[in-house]
Amino acid sequence: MSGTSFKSNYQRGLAPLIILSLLKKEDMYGYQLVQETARISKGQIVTQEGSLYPVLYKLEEGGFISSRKELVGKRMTRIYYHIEPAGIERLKVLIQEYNAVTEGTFLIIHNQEAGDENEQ
Amino acid sequence: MKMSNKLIRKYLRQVGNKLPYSGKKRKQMIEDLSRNIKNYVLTAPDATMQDIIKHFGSPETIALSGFEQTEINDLLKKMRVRKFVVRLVAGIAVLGVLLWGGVVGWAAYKEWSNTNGYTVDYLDDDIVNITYD
Repeated sequence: MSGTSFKSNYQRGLAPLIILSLLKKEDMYGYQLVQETARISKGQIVTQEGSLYPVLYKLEEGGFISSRKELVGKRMTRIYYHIEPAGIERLKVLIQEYNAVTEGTFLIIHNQEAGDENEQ
Repeated sequence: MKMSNKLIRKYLRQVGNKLPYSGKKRKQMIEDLSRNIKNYVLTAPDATMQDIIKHFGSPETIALSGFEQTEINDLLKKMRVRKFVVRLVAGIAVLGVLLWGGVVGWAAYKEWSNTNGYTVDYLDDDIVNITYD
């Protein structure tokens, strides 16, 4: 999710929805969220780990997710994120909003295309 | 460009400077980023600075995400505080200049009034010239 292109902006806007959707399946750490996003979306959505933290902090501040530190091996510490019940409710709202916006955009695009065809 | 601790510190500093966070939140963000870069380097010892930027994002990209996740009222508040600080510093500077001018002017006036309008030039305690203003 880098840059300021349409795709980057759109993906950044979707970040809370993507993170909550992934955490609903299981608790994950930052890098795992990046990897799972790329894997499940078949490379269509590529995130950069640094850009995830502000989204994770905001979700945590809102009580939608929580975090815990875990020692991995001798030297590595990972922060795992866990979705809270409020996060599951928030996810439902976000999915509804996403569907509404996507449907509306789809209608506008196809209405425009129909108009273009009529003109021809 | 092989990675060094100095380059990582520079990268973290750049991220910190561009973030719209302050205090505890900025510290937490830099700590998290620093820890995860260390983890990344442990799993990829040959990683270069370019790899780090590709994986974690450029300071600008990270800052952009920070701005997007910050409430507009908080951003406006920060901008107002910054504007206030700039005006305060400018005000203090102007006041300082005026005060300095006043002190110098007052000293000159006192000297002029003490000599009843005469200016006396000395050279080694000897009067060499007297002029009337």
